Amino acid sequence: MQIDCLSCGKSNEFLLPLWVVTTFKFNEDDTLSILHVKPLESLEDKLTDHKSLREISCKECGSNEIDIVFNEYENQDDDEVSALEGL
Amino acid sequence: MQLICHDCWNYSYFEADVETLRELKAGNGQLIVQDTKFEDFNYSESMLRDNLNDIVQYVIKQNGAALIWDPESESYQNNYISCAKCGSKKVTKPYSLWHSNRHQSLDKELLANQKEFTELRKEKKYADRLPVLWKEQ
Repeated sequence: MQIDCLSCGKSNEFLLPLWVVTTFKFNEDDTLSILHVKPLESLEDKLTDHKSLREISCKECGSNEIDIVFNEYENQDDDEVSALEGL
Repeated sequence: MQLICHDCWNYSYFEADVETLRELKAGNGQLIVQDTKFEDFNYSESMLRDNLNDIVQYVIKQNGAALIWDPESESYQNNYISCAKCGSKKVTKPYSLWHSNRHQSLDKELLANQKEFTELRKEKKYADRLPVLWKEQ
C-alpha cells in the first residue's frame, strides 16, 4: 500500500479524522476522567470509501490532494514482474 | 454535580461522540496507524481531551440549546451526551427547566386541569351575587 501527496509529493505521513465514543466521568473536583474510547468508524471503510478520501490530509503541507494505491505492484510491466519473480 | 440522567439518576458516568485525529504512515507495503505527534507533543490525545471538554462545557452552558424534542418518548433528549449506565439521552443539568420527566403535552395538561378550570368558571359566574339567606316557606 502506498499513499502519495499530489501537492508536495514529499511526505509519507498523513492525517485522518476519526469519530470515537468516549466514556468519561466527573470527578469530585468537577474535572473529567476518560474511562474508555471506542472507534465509531472503521479505518478500512474510510480508506476504501472514495467520499472519505478528501478527509485525509498530508501532514507536511496540509493538502487534501492525495492518491492511495492499494497494490503498488499491480501496474508493473511484465519484465519487472518476471525480474522480481526471478529474484 | 454537573449533569444528571433523568432515567437512572446517574450523575457521574456519561458518553459522548468526539472527533480525534490519527496518523497514517504508508511504505514498504505496510500501513501504520498511530497517534500524531508534532515535536513530541501528542496532538491526537490533546485533541480528544479538548473536544470532549468543549462538548461537556457547551452542554452545561447551553443546556436547552443542546436538547432536541423527541415526539415518540414525549421528552427532551440530549443531542451530544448520553448516560453511560442506562444509555438514556435524557441528560441535562440538575434543577433544569428542561426536566424531561415533568413534561406534559398541552392536551394532557388541559385534561388534568379541567376540574380546576370548571371550578374557576363557577366562581366567576356567581361572583357578582351576594349570598342569599335561606327562606322558610
